[in-house]
Amino acid sequence: MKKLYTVLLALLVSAAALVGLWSLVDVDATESVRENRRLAQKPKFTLSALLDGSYVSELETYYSDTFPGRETLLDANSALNKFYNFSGKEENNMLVIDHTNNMGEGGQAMTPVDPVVPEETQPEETVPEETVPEEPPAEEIPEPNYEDMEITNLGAIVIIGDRAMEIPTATESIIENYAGAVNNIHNALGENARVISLVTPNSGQFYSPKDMHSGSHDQQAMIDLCYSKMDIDVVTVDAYSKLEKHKSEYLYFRTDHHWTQLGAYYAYTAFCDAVGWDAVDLDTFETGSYDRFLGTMYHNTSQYPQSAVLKENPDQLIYYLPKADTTAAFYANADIGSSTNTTYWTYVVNAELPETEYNKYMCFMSGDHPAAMITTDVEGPVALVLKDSYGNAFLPFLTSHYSRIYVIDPREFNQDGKPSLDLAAYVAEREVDDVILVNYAYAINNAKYVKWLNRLVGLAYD
Amino acid sequence: MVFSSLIFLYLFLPACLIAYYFCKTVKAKNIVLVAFSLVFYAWGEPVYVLLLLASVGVNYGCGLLMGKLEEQEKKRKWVLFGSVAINLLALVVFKYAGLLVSSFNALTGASLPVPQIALPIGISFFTFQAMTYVIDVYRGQVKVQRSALKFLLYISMFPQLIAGPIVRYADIEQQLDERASTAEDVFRGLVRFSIGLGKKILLADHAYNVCKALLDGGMQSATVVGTWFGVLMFMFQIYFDFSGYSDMAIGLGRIFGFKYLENFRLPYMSLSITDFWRRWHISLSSFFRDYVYIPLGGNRKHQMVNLLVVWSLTGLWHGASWNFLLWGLYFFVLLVIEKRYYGRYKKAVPKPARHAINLLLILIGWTIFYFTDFAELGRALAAMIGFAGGGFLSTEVKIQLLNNLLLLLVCIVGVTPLPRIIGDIFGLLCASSEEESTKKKIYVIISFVFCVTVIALSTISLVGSGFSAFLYYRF
Repeated sequence: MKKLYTVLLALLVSAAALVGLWSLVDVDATESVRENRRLAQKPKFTLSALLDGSYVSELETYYSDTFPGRETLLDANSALNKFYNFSGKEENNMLVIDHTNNMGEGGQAMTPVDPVVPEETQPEETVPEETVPEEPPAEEIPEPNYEDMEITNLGAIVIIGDRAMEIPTATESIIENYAGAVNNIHNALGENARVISLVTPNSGQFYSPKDMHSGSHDQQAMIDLCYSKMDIDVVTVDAYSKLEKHKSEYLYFRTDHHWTQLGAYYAYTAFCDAVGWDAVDLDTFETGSYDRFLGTMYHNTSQYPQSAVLKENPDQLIYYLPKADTTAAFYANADIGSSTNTTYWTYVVNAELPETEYNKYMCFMSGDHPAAMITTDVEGPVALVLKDSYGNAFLPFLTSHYSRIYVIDPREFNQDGKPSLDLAAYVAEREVDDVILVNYAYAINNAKYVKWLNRLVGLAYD
Repeated sequence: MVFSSLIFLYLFLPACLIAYYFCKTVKAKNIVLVAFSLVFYAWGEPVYVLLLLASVGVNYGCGLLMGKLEEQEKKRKWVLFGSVAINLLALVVFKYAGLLVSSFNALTGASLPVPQIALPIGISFFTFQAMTYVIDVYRGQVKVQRSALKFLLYISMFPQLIAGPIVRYADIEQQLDERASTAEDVFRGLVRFSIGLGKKILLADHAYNVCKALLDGGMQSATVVGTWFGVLMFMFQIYFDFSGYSDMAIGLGRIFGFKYLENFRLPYMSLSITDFWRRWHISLSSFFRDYVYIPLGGNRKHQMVNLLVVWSLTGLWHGASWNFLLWGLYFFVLLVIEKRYYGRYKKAVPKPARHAINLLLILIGWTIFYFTDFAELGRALAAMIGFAGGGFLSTEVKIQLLNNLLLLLVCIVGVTPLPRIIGDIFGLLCASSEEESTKKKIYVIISFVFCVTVIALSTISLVGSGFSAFLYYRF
């Protein structure tokens, strides 16, 4: 018996030791396609990092991120999750996962391998192409910080059937603070520019079971509350009613948390109603499509068995090309036109996304960047848009009305290590007529987003 | 470091086992264990490892001093008093200072700066272990340990260092000098370790995710069913987590030749609260019994006061927050009631009903334990009796219930004696009087396969828990 014990033990211990050795000498993966993120890198050793414990905790994350055979083990974990996330028969496909505090800290951007230069004449602010550095700006997107561990937003992700949805939970104080931030911006700008606020519901409001869009999950109530706290001079856009009226149409993706461009179009018609313009007729746009789009909601739930149904039923993304002649570019900071600010040419709507880009929503403005500018051949006013990524699909419609549109990502400014931006001075300098805020219900419940907005006009959130 | 991490399982533990078994003498083995234990502690607490060493130094020194003052009863008493005071002071400063100052501020309106002291991991365990030594030396129940290495080993042994059980010096005094672990001991130790690992990673951690989702999002909008389900999952989480940790400690101890006492004996099978506390975290309740309750006079004089002291301390030991005191007092009240009426209650109420009532009382206890915020606790208790802001049941909770149905069933079976009975029957079937019988070999091989399976599943789950598409989840 002793021999048997010894053999088995030697087997187990040497197997574990070999895995350990392998983990130390193997080549580490740096990116996970499945999770759409860069994996943790080996932390730099410093005495202070060791003493405050951050070295070891980063080392643990790095070790687990680069554990040998991680991809295979993740596949196995999806199988194991059939036990932990049971939902019976396939027609009963249902999943709830906690989404509290999981609101992203930053935007998602396409990595521009080769900056795209359109054929059209370049606007005067352009910087010669050769100044484009080899480092793509996506590298500059910071790691999320964990300084605020308190709850910043509440919510859940649910899958019901072949649709995944985010279900926000209202935190009234945050919503009121969001409205307050819009008022702060309005006050800071004074007479210089009109402020227009568009808050849109997400798919949860229209396609979830009733108790997921009523009570504390009622996005209509959230938007009403938010608008009611805004100054009378702020133009509020009732996108809700239009979307509600057309909810039987393909307004939202089922595998992504965004609206389709059709959804954005109905919000645009509401926008036109609010400012007294005629909306361009939907039929007159030239369209195209990307098939087999699996979005963020699929990727975020890909470890759960319920996501299989999403994978079998991908979305189709139909885009509407701007009617005006447009040039668009994005920048690492808001100092658009400065010779130190690199220009990355892109499209308002990109009809030729590379096959490798899984996230087809990137076709709109190449995703979220600190700053972007669209110039059109339309003779019209100048707009500045503060937005979350819902704004990206909405922007193309504005090109029919504005001669120039600045796009600013609020989170990218006035924080540690980020460029500073005084929104009021910026608006005055660049003769902006309309400042437009486009956000969805999840963002107006996010304390951090409110903080970012306030910082644009020099106010601390707390 | 924690047991449930990839670095522990694939680097630390294999390295430690290999180093340990290449050492021939007990002294060399002890040195290996101490070295690995200090690395283990310093891994998470690079600064507080000095505190651990200081605690070891003080208690070791006090032991020696008491040994020198053999006949001088009064001086020995002062040494004991001094060492116990230092141990308790360390505990108060590093664990309760923040709570005490902020409570003082709240009560008096003062605004003293609240000290921000991070809790040194395991301090509640290692100071108690050290106290069992000095008190037992004083009582003459154990000999003075003259070897600093052995005393350091006793306190810092990584298997029980950060989450117990509280091993009394008396129980392993001899094993520090000489111990043997046969191949069978090592094998069974590993099986026990893997059982604990599975309880922690495959059950407790998943149960905690459910409980967090249901109880951490603010109780204003909680539902009746959701609150009950959340607290129930916490009841499973804390049992599988804590008893799993004890299993791992006992298993590792056995691998190194230490025989630790059992710390949990199916506590959720108890029929009374008295019985529950004889089965739950036994090393803690027996510590309070032998080192606080009985010295205070036990049940011979002012028993009520003694009980009140013991249960207040038991409550506060679990954490620096007043809800833990409330939790301790809750059990004080229940135990006092039981002492008076249990005889009649037992006659009047059939066994299954007593079991159900007991589980309910324990569950309410865990509710008090879970919520460190009294307002949230109030809302949770109100929700449990029907006054829930979110109504009786929501679709979200319904889906949560469905998603976690299988986990719930396994948890329920896991707290009953059933797994052990199956193991015992299997053992009996394979029992044989021959030393080298095939049946015995089958038993060993199947246990091995079980052990490897659990470790593999735990690894998968650990890697899976690092899956974080959310990290870069964007608007």
